[in-house]
Amino acid sequence: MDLSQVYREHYRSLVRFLYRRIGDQARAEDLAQEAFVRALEHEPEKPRAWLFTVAANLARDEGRRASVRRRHLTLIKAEAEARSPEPGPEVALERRETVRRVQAALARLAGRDREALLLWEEGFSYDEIAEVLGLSRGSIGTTLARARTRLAAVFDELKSEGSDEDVAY
Amino acid sequence: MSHIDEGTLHSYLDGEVSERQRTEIAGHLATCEECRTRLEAAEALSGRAAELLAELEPGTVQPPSWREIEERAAARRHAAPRPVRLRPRLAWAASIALAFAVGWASQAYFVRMPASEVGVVGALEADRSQAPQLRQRGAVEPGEAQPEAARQEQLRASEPDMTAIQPRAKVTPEEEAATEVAGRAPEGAPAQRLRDQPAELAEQDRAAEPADELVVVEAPAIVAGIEVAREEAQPQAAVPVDRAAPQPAAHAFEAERALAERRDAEAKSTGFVELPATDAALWLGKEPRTLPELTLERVEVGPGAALEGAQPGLPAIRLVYEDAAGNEIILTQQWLGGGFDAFAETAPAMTVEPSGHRAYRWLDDQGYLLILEGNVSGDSLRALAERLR
Repeated sequence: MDLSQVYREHYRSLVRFLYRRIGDQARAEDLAQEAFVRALEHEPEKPRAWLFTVAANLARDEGRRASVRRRHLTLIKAEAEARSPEPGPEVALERRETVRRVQAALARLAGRDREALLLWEEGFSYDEIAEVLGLSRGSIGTTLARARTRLAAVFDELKSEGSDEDVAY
Repeated sequence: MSHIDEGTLHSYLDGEVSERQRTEIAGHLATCEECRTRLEAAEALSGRAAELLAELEPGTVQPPSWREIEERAAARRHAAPRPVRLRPRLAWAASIALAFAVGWASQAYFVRMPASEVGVVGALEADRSQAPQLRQRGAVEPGEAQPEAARQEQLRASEPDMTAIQPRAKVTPEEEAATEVAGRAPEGAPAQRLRDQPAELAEQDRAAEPADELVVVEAPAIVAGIEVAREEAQPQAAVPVDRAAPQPAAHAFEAERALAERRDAEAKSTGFVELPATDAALWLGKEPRTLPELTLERVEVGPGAALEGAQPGLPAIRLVYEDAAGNEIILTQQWLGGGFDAFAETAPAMTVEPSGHRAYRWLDDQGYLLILEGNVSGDSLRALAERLR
């Protein structure tokens, strides 16, 4: 398949996948572009699966760096805050809280479970998920069931606690 | 059929079971209320998970043109190889190994050299004591052994006071004082001797210099294993008196070794190691940006992977400065060039630690990714950023 076509069709999906993994859109776009640059170098036979595999690895590396960074730094990005159109302070606050809890809940999933869930949400079939994650096809249903259950449970738990837990990928 | 397991229920809901499985599951669900309830719960759970993930929707995504991606890949393919690939620790090991090899070669050269050329070089106690061992190692042809020994004997009989030659190695005032105590020529004697001695002796004196360097290279602490082998082959008494005394160059090697150990420790903890300031451009691939108004304390190199937003495959240079108030100001940089500017964040960003340590990061118009940090105000960092050269 022509990579430029893959780019047109799947770039946004790849950015979303990465954004859900690392929680930073600018970095997600950087990493998605990096994945496509690497795809041009390697010319994979199955570019979509290859791209998401590379993206998952990049996100894991990013997560490791972010985890080190988080111990020391609190990121201030006034520019990003300023350009977010907010409907109102209360609604905006509530939405931010929801997003933060989903991120925190997602971060609490096991790596494979999280990636399987995110790949499924990006339209990957069980066969493709199995290929990307190196799992057997027969285990994907169980993996997704576990991921969905835990995601919802942790989200509810965080909501009831009113936790302001930091996201830890 | 027993109850349907959770994984199969989700596979069924996701449409990821075969036709045969679908028929079997549907048949079971028609007769099992418990599994129907579980199926409804699984369906709700699946929908809930999708809703939650939908909250994590990125903002507007504007992909760069495909041509831009292609150009970036092409730039990476054609990027010139970095001039320096050797890791600093390996470079130090290589330097020491090279120094030893040069010293060894010099030793072999002087041992093999005919006395007519060497003059009084062989009179150096260190060389005398090592020559037989070198023959044993095959450095000298068997046929030459006896004439060489005879020449050494002649030289020994006619040699002048060679202690006057030894201080030509780099000597500190403290070493000169020690020289006097040891009964050597008094201070100033070497210069006087060079003026007074015949030209031939001066030539011999110059030729003796590499042998002095050999003593340095063979400092026991540096090449302990080799030294042990030599100690076994030569009597302790044959070791020159001067070798027992502190050697300034040996101290230098000790200092270098200590520095190398410190670098290793630093590398393990931060990923950055110190390097000579003159090497910064080699690692960076371009002249580093500097803060000429501040005092440069040291220069370090480390992996880009250790830095947020940096290219993991490229090294990063860290210039550590001290400002007038004694604050440590660190300028970390990576030259991304034209091929990578779209990869890095271009908008300046300020980060702050709870301790007040701030970092200001930006990509300048020449392709440098720059991070300026220190325990100073954000305004100070921005002001310093404007003074970069």
